[in-house]
Amino acid sequence: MLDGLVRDDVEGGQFRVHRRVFVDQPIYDVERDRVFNHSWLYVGHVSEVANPGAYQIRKVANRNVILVRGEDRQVRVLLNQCTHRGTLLCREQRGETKFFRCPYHAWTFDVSGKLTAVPDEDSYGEGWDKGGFNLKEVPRTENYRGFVFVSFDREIAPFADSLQGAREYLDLVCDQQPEDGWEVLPGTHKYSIPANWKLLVENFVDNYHFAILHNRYLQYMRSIGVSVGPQGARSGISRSASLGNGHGACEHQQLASLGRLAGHWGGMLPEWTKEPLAEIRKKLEERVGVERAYRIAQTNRNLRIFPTFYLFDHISPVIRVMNPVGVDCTEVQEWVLGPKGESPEMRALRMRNYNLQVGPGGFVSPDDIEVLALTQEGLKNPELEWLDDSRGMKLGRTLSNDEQQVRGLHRHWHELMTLGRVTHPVNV
Amino acid sequence: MANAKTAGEVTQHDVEQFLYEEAALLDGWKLNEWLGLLTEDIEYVVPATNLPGGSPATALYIVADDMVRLRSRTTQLLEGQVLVENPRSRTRRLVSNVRILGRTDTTLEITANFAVYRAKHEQVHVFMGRYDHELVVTDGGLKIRRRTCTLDLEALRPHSAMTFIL
Repeated sequence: MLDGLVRDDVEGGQFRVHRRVFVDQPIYDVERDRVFNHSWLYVGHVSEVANPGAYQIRKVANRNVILVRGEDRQVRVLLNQCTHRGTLLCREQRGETKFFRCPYHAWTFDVSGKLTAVPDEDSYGEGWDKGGFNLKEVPRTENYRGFVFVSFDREIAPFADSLQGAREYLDLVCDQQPEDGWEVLPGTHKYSIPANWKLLVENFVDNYHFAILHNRYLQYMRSIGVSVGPQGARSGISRSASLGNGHGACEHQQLASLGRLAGHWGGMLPEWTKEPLAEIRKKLEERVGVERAYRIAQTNRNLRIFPTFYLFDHISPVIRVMNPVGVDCTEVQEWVLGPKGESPEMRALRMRNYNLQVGPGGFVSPDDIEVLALTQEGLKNPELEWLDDSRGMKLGRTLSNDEQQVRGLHRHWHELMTLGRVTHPVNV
Repeated sequence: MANAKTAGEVTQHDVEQFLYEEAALLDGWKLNEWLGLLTEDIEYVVPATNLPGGSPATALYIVADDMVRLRSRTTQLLEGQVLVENPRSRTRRLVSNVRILGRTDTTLEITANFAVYRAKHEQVHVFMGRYDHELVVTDGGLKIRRRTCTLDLEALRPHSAMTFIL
């Protein structure tokens, strides 16, 4: 059933994926284990649990978990479930607390997950193994420069190793600030898209559709007197990259030229920001060197850490995470990153620009959401069996609007799904 | 509203009629006419579902439009550039529980409940919440200077996106 879902014809320059990959319930059921139980999944950022006792509840691979900082300042990811009868434990989305108490029988756990109080404990008799009832921790948790990832696979390779080529791109975002410099800003967008999660994966790092599907955003830019640079080969830095392990990225400059709060003034930003942005750029250059500062400050990038984590490093970095809840429905959540201690004027500008572009009410994302819903609906037709991701392949070309990163996604997915029976060439 | 000169003369009935007229324009896709109900310094905001009290200067918003953005947004909608609104979705909004919470010589703070039924792809989603508007009394009648639409939804699920004017 699974071995023939991807046709990877390197010689002929043709890459095709079968429609069943996106619509079949049995394939989705296998994915739940082979993909989501054996990958690194994003939970949250350390700045969201800054103080001891601070917590956020999250859904990861359909599990309910708590991201929480203990009294020992350690950040943990605990299963959000009482160990007595399995009841969902914490119901507040976020907060600060000394303990979590189950609503059912009042079993009480401290913020490191230790069971501290059980009503009428004597009834369990002498020698009762109370310590065996501490909250369960997710098997693997790692904090990479503030980003907390978990895996339900105890044997998985360390997160930093599993990043492979994606590490370079994640570091390009992390390096914009000194250590601990980023914080997740208040507010989050939660929405759902009636489409298979892999359609979202293809879309989020796809630059091919941008000027077409998002023309209204470009028209808005022109209407306020901002000229948008050329796309693809004519736009300076322009590349898409398949980064190993299903990770992918694209980098481009046609919108970056309009301004980036990482340290580049452009026509989208008000005049008064020229000076503070020059100052930001100078500090960046001192920290990482002139060449790296240029790439950081004057290039936009979309990064995918397979399967569910995305960083949109545009005018300001945005985290987007997905959680598939069915073969044709995926939950999405987004946050904005900002530097700690930013001036109120810069902060307001950051939020103002985010609100325009990404997010469910902006001038960009709603069209992605709808086109993915239309794709899922279109794929109900069984007659069109094979979908195409060959752009740039025959030419050996990897511009930002080529589809190399989409091929990398499906190759890795296919290897996971067939338990390595089918392997594919890399970087083609 | 019959030639009211000051905010003190505006009645509960005037405010209700104004909100009903506005709702009819929005449901009827008469968006250019709707823009005429707004002051040039309009703030149209829809807070993030998890942070209804935040400020657009410091927190994430679903929508935070000034007049420049609103003109563009309505043009995009009317010209069919917004994919999900082409073809147009159908909306029917019910506005109720209107209250005048405060007045100055020229302005009124009002609140109302809303439920916008939205039909698209043969499905119906309800966007419900509360309006908090600042209305200004002008020679041309009441106008809206601040239009805050706070959703009671915990997430845009299964609504997906916020593409029409709430």
